[in-house]
Amino acid sequence: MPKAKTSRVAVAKGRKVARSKAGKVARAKVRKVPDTQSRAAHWGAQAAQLRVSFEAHLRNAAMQEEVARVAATLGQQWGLDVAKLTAMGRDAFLEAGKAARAAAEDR
Amino acid sequence: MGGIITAFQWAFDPSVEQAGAPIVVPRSDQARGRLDFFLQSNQDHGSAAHLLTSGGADIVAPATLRGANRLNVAPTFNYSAFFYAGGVFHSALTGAYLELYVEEFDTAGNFVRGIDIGHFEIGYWDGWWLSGSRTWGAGGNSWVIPQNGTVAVTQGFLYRVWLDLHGDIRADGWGVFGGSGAISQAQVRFVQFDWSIDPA
Repeated sequence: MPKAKTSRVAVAKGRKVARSKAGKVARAKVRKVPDTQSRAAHWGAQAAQLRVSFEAHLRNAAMQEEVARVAATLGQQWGLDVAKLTAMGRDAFLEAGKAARAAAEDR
Repeated sequence: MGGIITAFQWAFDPSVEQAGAPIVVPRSDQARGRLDFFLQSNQDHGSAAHLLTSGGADIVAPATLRGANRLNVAPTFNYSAFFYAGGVFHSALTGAYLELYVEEFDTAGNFVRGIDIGHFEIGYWDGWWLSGSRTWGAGGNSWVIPQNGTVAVTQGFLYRVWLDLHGDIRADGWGVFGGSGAISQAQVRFVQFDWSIDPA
């Protein structure tokens, strides 16, 4: 295999990336967009809509709490152990979060 | 004319929109071509979050262009994602998607307009649960977002192309009798922008 003549070496798909002598891929120079720029203004409009829908969601969550209380009473009459199902659901949720986060941080 | 851009020149990470104290972990590193996040709803009460993280690059239309022209741009990327939605007598939403957004600046550097030209759904779920959950992953290599819509090009103007990664969660938290939770996690590895300016 011929030696690379410079510090730039070819990688997959013919793409070239700058590499240090140690062979590590160099970090690109990336500038952060300040909050005052057009990008932030565009996002600001979307964010304002999100805030409104989040408030509605939290109100709805409180309402669902009432619905769930009634449903749970009915469920228990049908023989469902709603408290146990809820505890299992919460555990599964917490476990899933822990595992997913750990797996991603290991990459 | 055209070319390939293999690194982001710009990063945009606005503060995450959130309510009800969810877990929010922004993890992007645009200098290494990585867009990345983790969102998990609050375990005890209603919460919601929407995260945007983005990497961009500049394309300048030559001043020597003649006639009507348009910009074509296609991002290539690899991605992996994890989603969870579950509940007992409650609803939960989880999702993530990519968008391609172009900003136009005139020769003096003034912002002219912004155009949405592409969308790629990584995963989405919004439903109500009697009792149960859904956990799934998504991933793939060398995906390309096809451009929808045209970007008319003006000689000498600058076009800043953005690859936006969005994440979404909404859930009600867990009580004694019922509740719900949502998790959204995605990692996108940017490969390149293929671009060209062609006669319209």
